[in-house]
Amino acid sequence: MFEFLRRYRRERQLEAEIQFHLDRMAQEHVGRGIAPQEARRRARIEFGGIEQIKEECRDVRGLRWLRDAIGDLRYTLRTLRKSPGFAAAALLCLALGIGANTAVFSLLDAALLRALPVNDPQRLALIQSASEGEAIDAFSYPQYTYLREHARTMDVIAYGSIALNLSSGAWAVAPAGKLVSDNYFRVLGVRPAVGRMLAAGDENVAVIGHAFWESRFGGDPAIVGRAANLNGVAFTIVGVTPERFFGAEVGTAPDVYIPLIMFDRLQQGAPRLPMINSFWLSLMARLHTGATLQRASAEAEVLYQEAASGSTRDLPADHPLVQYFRRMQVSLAAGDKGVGDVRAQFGKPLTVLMAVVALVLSIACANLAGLLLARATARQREIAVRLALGAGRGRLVRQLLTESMALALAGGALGLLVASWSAAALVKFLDRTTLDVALDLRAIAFAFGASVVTGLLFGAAPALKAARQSVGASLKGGPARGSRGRVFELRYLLVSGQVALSLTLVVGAGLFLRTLANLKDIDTGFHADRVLIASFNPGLSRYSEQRARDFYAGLMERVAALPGVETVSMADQPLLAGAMYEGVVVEGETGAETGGKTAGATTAGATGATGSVAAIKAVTPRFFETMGIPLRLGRDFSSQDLPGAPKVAIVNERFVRQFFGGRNPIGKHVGVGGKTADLEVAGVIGDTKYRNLRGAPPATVYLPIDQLDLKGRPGSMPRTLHVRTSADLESMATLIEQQARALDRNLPITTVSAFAKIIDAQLVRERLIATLSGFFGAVAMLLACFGLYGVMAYSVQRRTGEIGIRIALGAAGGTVTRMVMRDSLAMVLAGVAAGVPMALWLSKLVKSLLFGVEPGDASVLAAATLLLVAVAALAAYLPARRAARIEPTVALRYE
Amino acid sequence: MASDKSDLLQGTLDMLVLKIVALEPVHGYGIAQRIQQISRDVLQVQQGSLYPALHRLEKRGWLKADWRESETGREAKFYSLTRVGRKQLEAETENWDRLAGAVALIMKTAE
Repeated sequence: MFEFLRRYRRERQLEAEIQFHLDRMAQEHVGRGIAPQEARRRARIEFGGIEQIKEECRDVRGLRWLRDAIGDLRYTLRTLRKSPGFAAAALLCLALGIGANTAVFSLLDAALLRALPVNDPQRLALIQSASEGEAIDAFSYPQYTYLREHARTMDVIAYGSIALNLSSGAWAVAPAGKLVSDNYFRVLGVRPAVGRMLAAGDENVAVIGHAFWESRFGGDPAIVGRAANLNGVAFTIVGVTPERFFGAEVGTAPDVYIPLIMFDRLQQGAPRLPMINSFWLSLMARLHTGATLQRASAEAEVLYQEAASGSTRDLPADHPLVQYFRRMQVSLAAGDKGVGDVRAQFGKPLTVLMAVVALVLSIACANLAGLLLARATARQREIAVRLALGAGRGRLVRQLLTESMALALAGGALGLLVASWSAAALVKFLDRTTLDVALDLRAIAFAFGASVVTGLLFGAAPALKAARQSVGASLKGGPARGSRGRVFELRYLLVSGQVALSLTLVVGAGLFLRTLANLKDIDTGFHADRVLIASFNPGLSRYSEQRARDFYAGLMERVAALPGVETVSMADQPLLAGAMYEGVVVEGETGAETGGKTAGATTAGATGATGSVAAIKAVTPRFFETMGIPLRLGRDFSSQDLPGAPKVAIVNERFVRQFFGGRNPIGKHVGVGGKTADLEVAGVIGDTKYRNLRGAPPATVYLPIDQLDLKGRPGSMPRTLHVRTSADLESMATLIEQQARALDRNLPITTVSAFAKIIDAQLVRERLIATLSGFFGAVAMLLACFGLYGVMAYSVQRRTGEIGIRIALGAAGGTVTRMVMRDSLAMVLAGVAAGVPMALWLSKLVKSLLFGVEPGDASVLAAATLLLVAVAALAAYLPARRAARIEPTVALRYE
Repeated sequence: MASDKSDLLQGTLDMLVLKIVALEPVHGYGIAQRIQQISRDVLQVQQGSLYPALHRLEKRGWLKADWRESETGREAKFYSLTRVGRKQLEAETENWDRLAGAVALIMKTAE
């Protein structure tokens, strides 16, 4: 804008300067007695070409490139306006292509690349621990305090999750809670949005997250000083975190931050803070200036072992805990990007998606290059004329590149709109709305970069080709006319390349769709389409065991009376959403007591269990009926299986095979957790998936929930209500919520949802890749076929004369159709030949994302190839048919 | 033809312009006039060369321009010499003297 104004002023000055000169010359003539009008005319003649001189003056100023660029742009807009169809198609292609790339990039950026929104994230480090190569990354509170007090190269912070019930009297919710060390906010360098952050000496105070503040408290600044009841303990809210802050774990957004030392007061049972073998904290550090990661790493390792030998001084050397510490290796890793399971879960899929959308964009590029080549060929005469008139070839290349650049940048700008919309949709799809994917400068820079690269990619070939063309030949009619000469080679290659790339994408899509279908069709062993679940954790609200039992009993009674409810039952946790494994002993089957492996490393030192392990779940009567799990032998739990009655258990078929060698176990005894086999097997049920969909069903023991030994943690009774209903799931969910609230207003429902959501949540990654790769595979295929169609349609048009002659000489319509189809299929098959090895190679890279299908699956490969060839044949048939219908008389007059 | 001439004049024209401007600030028309007058009509400057030359010299920072009232009372663009321009003029004068001397020597000796 500034440049424009300056240019305008210069222009006016130049004008005035020359006008002055002309006027003075004219005056001179007038002085010699010549009439003023004649004098002006003579002056102008003597002066010479005014515009030419002005032009030279401007050239001297070095503004020529700018003027040229503006001229080029104007010319571009004019030519594009003359072919709106081409412009619209190109813009649409580019907007979708660049938009998809930017959207995936901003997701990838938020999940994997971007640094934490804290002060100087480059100096942050993650403190990691690993045992024999397996990452543990969890520390006890005494380990943390030792490290923090003795570290000289860094400031160490700690954080851990905590389940919270927050009640304000009028309502109750279960917010995502984070326990943080008192130096957490200071070391991270986080400034409050409102109030203050936590500091040393804080106890009954809490800081709330920005999103929670807005959703729950309407962004009311008067929040500071407000009282809140957390797990039955009185707290004061002292501040709100800044808007973009989410802690150190990418993809999460804690609602409430409370001081670490409050932990034991917020949970029941034995205090865990002083326990040296309760590993639940995550540690991060900020390196002091001058300290390197290596030095800090070495220091952390030394301090960890110091703390370990200090705390296990009284234990024998072969004690499991001593062994545990000795095996542990501590190291530091760069922490500028934080941590997060989002990375583990979506890192690879997002990288794959990035590659997919980049491929789609390159196919779109090839398409546009093809279109522009066609235009360049059509404009051969015009360009030849301009060359003949003395236009510089460089200048011409610049003009043509301006056209592609203008298209690319406009497409990129539209792409940003597409991106902002689709990134939000993607995040919703992932159910990770806490990921910050608002389009920032990085995303805009990415879109701009992608546009420039795109513009160069699809613009370079046509521009260079145009500039290389010979003047004479083009003016005389050109060699391309009437034959398929060399001019078309590049375009043929482009089509083959597109086919190859899109075949790769279609094969990938096929593999991912097959994976999703395999997982969806997997036999889970239960049928829970019509099951609703609702979870509660009354222990957090300090309910006594009896009060909790009364609540659950009352709730089951009320819900069972609702219309449309078929069965009601409860479990400690739903299947597929929480797993617990225990060592198992079996009466008279000591031989089975070998091997196996413990899960749940959090208290590895404490349990240190050997022997075989089974999955455990505690349920009420009718749970199997509710979940549609078949009873094979014996009986279900009954209301008589109470604490005083004989202890019973129900096992699955896998358990029978593994521990009883397939013999009837009814009446035999098993034991879990403890040493004695004190549970009588009352029934056998079918196998079900337990922890996730991919794993095989483990040997599982079900216990009656009322006989559960609460092991000194009375009242800590998280339970999930399971309701099988014939009514609409959503309205039933509302009804259940109403019943729970009517029964007890202060107890929050942790979750209420269809059981199917648990399965959905397990498949979110697979569904994401399958849906998007399917979509982009289809887009790629259509783009490639569009490219093929364009090339063939154009070629038929150019060869109208030749084909007319052939038909006039007696070629049948079919022969002509076959000729065109043969050319098309040659391109397609060349593409397939290149695409198959590429697809095989690339699909090997995504092997870990597949389930139930091999990377080189022949049926997928064959189906993808067939589909592509069929669609391509259709695309080629249209121009082929047109070729066959050419009227020789018309065609021969066409020239 | 015309382009031959201007090419030939290029270096010299710059020097002549600098010299004229060195006397006092002057506008483009004035420069053309003076060159013609002082050379007693031997040298006639083409406007087609003069104005691009002026703009070029200004761009290089040898001349600076400002708008003032001319002798006829109308606003005109007056060029004057900058410090760099003065140095350049000295260098070019010296160069020219050497060249002219050398050419004269050859012409005389060859007679």
